[in-house]
Order: sequence, then C-alpha cells, then structure tokens
Amino acid sequence: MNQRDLTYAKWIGLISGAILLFAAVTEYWPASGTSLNWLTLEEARLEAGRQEKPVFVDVYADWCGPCKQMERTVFPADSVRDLLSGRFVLAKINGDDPLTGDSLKKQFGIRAYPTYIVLSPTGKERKRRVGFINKTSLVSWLSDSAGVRILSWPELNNAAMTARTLHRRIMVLVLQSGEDLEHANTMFEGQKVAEAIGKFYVPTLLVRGNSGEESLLSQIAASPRTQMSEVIVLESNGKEVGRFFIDRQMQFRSFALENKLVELAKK
Amino acid sequence: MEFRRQWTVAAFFIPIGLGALTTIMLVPMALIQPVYDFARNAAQINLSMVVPFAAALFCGGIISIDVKEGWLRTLLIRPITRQQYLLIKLAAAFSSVVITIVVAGVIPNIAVGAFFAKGVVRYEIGPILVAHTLFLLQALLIIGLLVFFSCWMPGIFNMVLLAAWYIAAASIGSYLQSRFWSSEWLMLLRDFLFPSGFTSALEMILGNAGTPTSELAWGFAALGFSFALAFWSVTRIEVDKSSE
Amino acid sequence: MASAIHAQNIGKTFNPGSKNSVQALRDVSFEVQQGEIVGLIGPNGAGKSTLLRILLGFLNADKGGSVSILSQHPESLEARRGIGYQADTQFRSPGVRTSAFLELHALLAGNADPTDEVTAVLRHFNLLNAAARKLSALSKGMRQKIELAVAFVGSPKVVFLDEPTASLDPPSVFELREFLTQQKEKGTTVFFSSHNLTEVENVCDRVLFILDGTLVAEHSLAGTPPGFLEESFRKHLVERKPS
Repeated sequence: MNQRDLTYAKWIGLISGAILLFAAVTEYWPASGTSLNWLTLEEARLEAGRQEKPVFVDVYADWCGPCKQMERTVFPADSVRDLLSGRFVLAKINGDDPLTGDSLKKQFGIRAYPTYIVLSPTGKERKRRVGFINKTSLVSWLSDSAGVRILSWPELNNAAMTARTLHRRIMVLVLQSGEDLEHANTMFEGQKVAEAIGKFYVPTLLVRGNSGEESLLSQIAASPRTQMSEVIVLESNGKEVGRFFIDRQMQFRSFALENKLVELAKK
Repeated sequence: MEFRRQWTVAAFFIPIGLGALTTIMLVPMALIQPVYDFARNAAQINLSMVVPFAAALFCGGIISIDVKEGWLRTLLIRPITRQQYLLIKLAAAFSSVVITIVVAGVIPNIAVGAFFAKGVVRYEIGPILVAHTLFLLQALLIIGLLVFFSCWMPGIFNMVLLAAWYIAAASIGSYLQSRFWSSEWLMLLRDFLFPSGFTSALEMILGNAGTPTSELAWGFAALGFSFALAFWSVTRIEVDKSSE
Repeated sequence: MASAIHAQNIGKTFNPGSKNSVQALRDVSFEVQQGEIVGLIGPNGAGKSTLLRILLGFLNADKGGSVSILSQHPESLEARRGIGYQADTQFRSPGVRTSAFLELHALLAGNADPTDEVTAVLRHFNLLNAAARKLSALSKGMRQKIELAVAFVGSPKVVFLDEPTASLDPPSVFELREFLTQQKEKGTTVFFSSHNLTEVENVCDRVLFILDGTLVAEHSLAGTPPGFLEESFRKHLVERKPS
C-alpha cells in the first residue's frame, strides 16, 4: 500500500455524495401531501366558531416576493403543513383585492406583506408576524401559545366588576395591533411590573382591529391610532385617573414602567 | 502523543478563557429568562462561540504546523499512510474540542443554571443529548474544513478565513434574501453559502418543528465532503517545503 | 547486487508558471546498489536536499520521473519499512521528550516493545543523558544527533542522511564515521549529501557531484589516489560555477 493511498477519501466522498443526493431529494422534491385548504376570512370565521379552532390569516399580495417564497418553500414543508392543517382554520386575504382589500387592510392595520395573524376562535387577534419566516421559526411561533400571558387578562367588563369588589383601579392596555402582543407580554409579565399590577390593579387588554373592541376603545376614549401602545388607568366606576404612552424609555427599562404604574395607583 | 502535543501551556487557557466568556454571557440570560432552558442556552453558547472558537484555535494550523515543524516528515518516513496519520490527528483534535466543550460549554451552563437562574430551570435529558450530539457533529465539520484549509495555508490565515466565511455567509445570505427572493437559483445558492445543516436541524428540534430529515442529511453530506477533502489534501501536499 | 535506490529523469520546478519559478532539479538519473555508501556532493543550493526529499516522496517531483527504493515505490509501506532518514532542517516540537520521540519511531517501525532498542540507539550516539529532556530544550548539535539516531531506529536497509555532520562537533563526526563503517559491514545502504569533502573521502564507495540541479560527475573511489577527489571537485564544481 502506498502512503498516498486515497481509500478513505474516496469512500467518504462517495457516501457523502449519496447523502447529498438524498438531502437534495428530500428538500426539493415537490411536496406530495394534500395542499392546504385556504378559505376567505368570512368562511374561516364561521368555520373557526364551529370547530373552536383559531384562524391563521395570511395577508398577501400577488407582487410580493417573500409571500411567494413562503408559498413555495415554507408552507409545503411537512411540519408546517401538519401544524397548520391540524390546529388552525386557514384564511387568505389578498390585500390588493379591489372589493374587500382596502377595508380588510384598514381593519387589521396592515402595513406590509406578508402579514400573518392568528385569531382566536371568537375572532380576537392573538398574535401577528410580518415578513418572511423560515419554517422553524414559523412552527415555534405557532406552537408557542402559552407564552402570551397577557391574553388571559379578563375582558373589560369582567375587569370592571372585579375592580369594584376588590376596590382596585383598572389598568387598560391598548395595543395598536397583535404584532405588539409578544413585546407587551415581555414588558408586562416581567417580575417587578407584574407584581405592581397584581398589587394595585385589575388589568385588561384591548387590541385595535379586534372585532367588537372598537366601541370599547371609543368608550374609554383611547387616543387615536399612533405607533405606540397606551396604558389608561380607570377607577372601578370608569372614571379616568390618568394615561400614558409606552415610550422608548419604558421599553428598555422596566422600572420606568413600574414607577409610572405605582405613581398612577397612588394618585 | 498527538493529543499531548496539542496541549501546550497556551492551550490550557483556551477552554478556561472560553469558559469565562460563556459564563459572562450566560449570567444575564439566567437573570432575565423566565425559563432557563438548558438545551436552548447550550445551543446558543456552543454553536455561536465554543465550537467554532475551540475548533479554530486547536485546528487552525493542525496540518500546517506539523509541516512547518518537520513533525509530519519524521512520522511519514515510517510505514504509516497519510490517511492513518490524519485519523489520529483528527481523533486528538476532536478530543481536545470535546474537553473544551465540557469545560467551556457544559460546566458554565450547569453552574449558571444552578446559581443564577431566576426562573424555572428546564432540564430535559432528550433535547440536551440531541443538542450536544449536534454540537459534536458541527465541531467535526469545522475540524474537517480546517484540516483542508491548513493543508494549504498557515494557521492564523485559516482562523481569519473561517471567521470571514461565517460573516460573509450570514451577510450575503440576508442580502440575497432581501433582494433576490424572486430568483430561484440565487435562493438555492443561499443554501450552500455555509454548511448549516446541523445548526438548522438543532433549531428545528428545539423549536419542536418536526423531524429535520433533510437538514440532517445536508449536515452529514457537508461533514462527509469536508472529511473527503481533508483526506484528499493530506495525501496531496508536499510535507517538507522548507528551502535549503 | 540488487539496486537500493533507482532514480530516473527526476526534475523539480518550484512555483511553476510564476515569474519566480526555479528549476531546482533537471533530469537527474542514478542508481545505488545495496550495501553501498554513496555521497551526494554539491555547493549550497545545488539541489541536494530537494533531491533527497523527492526520493522520499516529501516533495512532489515534476511529471515524467520515476523513483524506486528497494525495488518498490518509495512511498509504499514495504519500502518505508526499510528506510531511515535524517533531514537537514531540524525537527522541533515543544513538549516531546527525546526518549518518547525515539520510542514512537521504533513503535511505528514495527517494534512493539521499543524500550531496549531505544536505549541501545541512545547509548550508541552518546545521548543517554538527553533521554529525559524535551527536544525543544536541546542544543542544535544534540538535536542533529537525535535525528541521526532516529534515522537508524528500526534497523533500516537504506538510510538517507541530509548533511549529517552539519552541526556536529569533531569527536561526534569521528564517531559517526566509525558508525557508518559498521553499518556498511552489516549491509546497510547509506545515501548522504554533504559539502564536506574529507568526510566523504573517508567513508564513501562512490560520490555524485551535483551542480545547479544537474548531476555533473560520478566517481567510484575504490583505488583512487589521495587528492583525486579534491581535484575532481575543483574541476566539476568550482571552476564551472561562474558559467
């Protein structure tokens, strides 16, 4: 045998060639399974109420590249397809639809394509993502439902009732869209802030664009649409104590938010 | 012998230094995370720091130094093939990287989890084992690439090259993603910028995103090719280049 | 007698194709019989070390040449079992002890229990006091001796020595000469390069003169008068050099 023997190199090369081929086939082979069953938003809402499943809404446009790429590479992947078809009712909204596009865009506050929104079976926005998402992130984003704890805050009416019995004030958090949910969650579920809320308030959450919440928003005189989330503190009888926007400083320093909440609690 | 030659005095500082760095990284994570997930944090520190750094520091000049010092020449006068030499070399390098992962990746993770974590510590043996297996595979992949490089270029250069490759792959990847999403071929090219099969497989597993069959296959194919290249280059090079 | 080293049409160009390409060897052919001691003589930069490295497969020769050692490909494991080599550039590696280094070599050469052999070799080269020391801590001359010792570990049939006396003190040179004569009696073939005429004259059966990568002359030294080699050396290497 020669010192420059190449047996290992050849065999390893050959085997990896085979694995590469296998990888290419599994990755790029057209998905064989059934395609996803996309409905219109109206159909999906009815269906979701019936099956008690959340709705996954895909807001797209024909000219949008990332949308096409999602369509081609992400949705057909087994893991994504199984999750979507198993746990959600699916709806597609063409943002450029001449009949319904504009009103739906306005209703959901769509600023870019693609936008993905998860609605609860009753039609309330649970979470939202904008732009291309690779399949791993999409799956973990969709499966992570326990994370957003502020969604379990009582609704405004219930909160008002609880507040009366506990003699506390109501803290209304107004979000501009479901896109802010996760961010708001990390802020308000942070230890110190959550303690302050638990001590002084009954919290409730309103998300702009959720069906049925527009009237509540006007009832508490929420400020008109801006980029920022707003906190409104009410007496249990509904009288306003104070309000503030969640500014940049609060986003980065939780004690600023905590201080503000304590201050309004004692006012 | 090969293993011992790797552990010069300087080499002892590699795992310790990396360990200190990872501890510094992990402590703030432990303080803010509501759930201290052992496997996830391990993935974060090992894949981004410990594995590439350890591999680069131990293997950047794995072959070129042997050529320069005349060590390879003294070995090859004996009846051993160059492939046997490389196998031993790989085993030694791999053990060094494993030790570094334990010292700099595993121990700080356990310690920080035990002493600093504010939230719940999640400790699931399955994902942890899978994650660490994938780190080892990723380490092998980088070692294979570095062997290939170091057959042709000196060590420092290889470390720079590896770092440049990492950065370039990330930035070109996101550039292609943002500008050329409509071109099928350029997007295909994106998949080949850096062999990331094991990394994305791990992401999928930790994200509960199903079985990463094709990702793992990409990873193994890349691993195999890097080894094939490494073995091929070792049999090609001139081992005694110093001039008269 | 069978040929120990057979080289045909060896050429070597460094950096081929670039503007600083150097043709280090051209069309070198020669043969060494088993049991012979042959010296390769030439000035610095003539291509001696390059030739040795090519014979051993450490450098890739240009296409067209062929080498065989003990009638085998020089890089075949069969040939490797019979080869010893001492290089002109010295091996250095931190943290390796002399005895461990020699034991590794004996082990690789096929001796499963190398301690005795290593002690014997160390004693032969007066290196016993260096056995426990690290290679990097030794002097240049000591390291040269160790390289020489390594070349003879495993009782090789063909030994290649590249400038064996370059950094040795006179007593060690004398000992080496003795040792080579002993080896010759055992039938070992020795092929070495040198620019030291006296050492060559005293131990060689034959010399090859090399200049600018070409073999220019070959002499058998049996029965030649004293001073013959020096004269030939002047004729072939010194006077032709300016051209």
